[in-house]
Amino acid sequence: MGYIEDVFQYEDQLGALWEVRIIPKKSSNVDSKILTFKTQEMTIPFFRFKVERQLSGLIPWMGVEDLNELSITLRESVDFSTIKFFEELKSKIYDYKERRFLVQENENDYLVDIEASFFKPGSIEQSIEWRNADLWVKNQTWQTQTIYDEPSIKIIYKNCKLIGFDNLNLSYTGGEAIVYSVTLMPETYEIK
Amino acid sequence: MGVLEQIFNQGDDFLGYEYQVSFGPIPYLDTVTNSLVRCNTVSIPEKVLGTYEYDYKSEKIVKPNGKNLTQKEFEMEFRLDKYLLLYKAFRLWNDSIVSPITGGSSMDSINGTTPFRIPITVTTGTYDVLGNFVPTLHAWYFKGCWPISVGAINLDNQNGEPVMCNIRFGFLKMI
Repeated sequence: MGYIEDVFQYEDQLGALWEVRIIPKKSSNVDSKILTFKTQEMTIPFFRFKVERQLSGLIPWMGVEDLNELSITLRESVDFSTIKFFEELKSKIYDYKERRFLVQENENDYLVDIEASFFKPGSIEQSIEWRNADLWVKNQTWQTQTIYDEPSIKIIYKNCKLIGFDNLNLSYTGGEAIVYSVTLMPETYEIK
Repeated sequence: MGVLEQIFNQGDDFLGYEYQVSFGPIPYLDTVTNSLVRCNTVSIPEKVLGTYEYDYKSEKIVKPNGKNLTQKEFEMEFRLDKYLLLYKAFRLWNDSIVSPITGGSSMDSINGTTPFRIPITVTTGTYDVLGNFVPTLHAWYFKGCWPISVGAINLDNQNGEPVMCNIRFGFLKMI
C-alpha cells in the first residue's frame, strides 16, 4: 500500500461547507436568520501570542495580542433588511442626532454572538434522501427543506461589538447584487 | 446462440426522438398550441462536480470539492407555428422579466414565490402502435425555468423550410 491510501484516510474540510449565524443577545426587529443566507464571505480571527527571543536564546511568552476584527461580506436584500439589522444595533450604541454615545445600561442590548458552523459532507444515503425530497417539482412554492447535516464543529465568537460598515459601492454598470462588508470585534471565542 | 441474437437480446437502444417535453403553463400562451410537437431538440446540460487538487510528494489526487458546477441553463429548439404564437409568448415572457418598453424589471422571488419561473419536464418514452406515449421511466425535471434568451429568427426568401428558434432557459434545479 502506498502513501496515496494514507493520504486518502484523512478528509479535508471543504471551503464551501460552512455557514454563519449572527445571534443578537436581545431579540431584534429583523430576523437574523436572513443574515445566514445572505452571507457571502467571512474572515474570522484567531488568537496570537506575543513572544520575544531573549539573549539567552529562550523564547518566553510575553503576552496575548488582541483578537483581530471579524468581517462578514453580505448580499443585501431587496428590503435592505440586513443593513437594517445592524442599523438597529447601531441605534442602541450611538445617537447620530445628538452626537453622543448612549448610556449602556445593559450590554445585551447591543452585543451579538457570531457562530461559524462547519459541515462535513453527508453520506451517500443522505444525498439520496435529498434527491427524493426534491422530486416534487410541479408546485413553484419553495418547500422548507430539512437539513440532515449537523455541524461537525462550531467556532463561537462571544460578545461581538459592531465597528461599522465598509463603503457601499453602487454602479450602473454592474449586474450583481449589492454587496457590503460589516466589521465586528469579538471579545473571545471558543471552539465546540 | 450467435452474435446477432446476443445483440438483439440486449434490448432496444434509447433513440434520440423518444422524449417529450411538458411545460408548467407557458405564460402569455393562452391559445392552444401544441408545444410538444413544436419542440424539435432539447439539450440536457452535463452534470458537473467541482474538484480540487491535493498534492503530496510525487502524486496529485483530484478530489470532489462538494460543489455542483452544473451550468444552470439548457436550450431548446422550436419549430415556430404559422402565427408565431409560441414565439410571441416566449417574447412576452422574456419581456415580463425586464421590459424593453418601460425598462422596469420583475422581482424573481416574492417571499419565496416566483412570478415568472415555471417547471419544465423532459420525459423519455416512445409511442406504441396505437399512438400512446409509453414512458421509459426516466425524466429530467427542471425546476424554476425562465427564458434567458429567445433566439434569433432567420427569414430567407430562398428557404422553404420551417423557421426554427432557440430558447435558452435558466433553471434553479435539475433533478
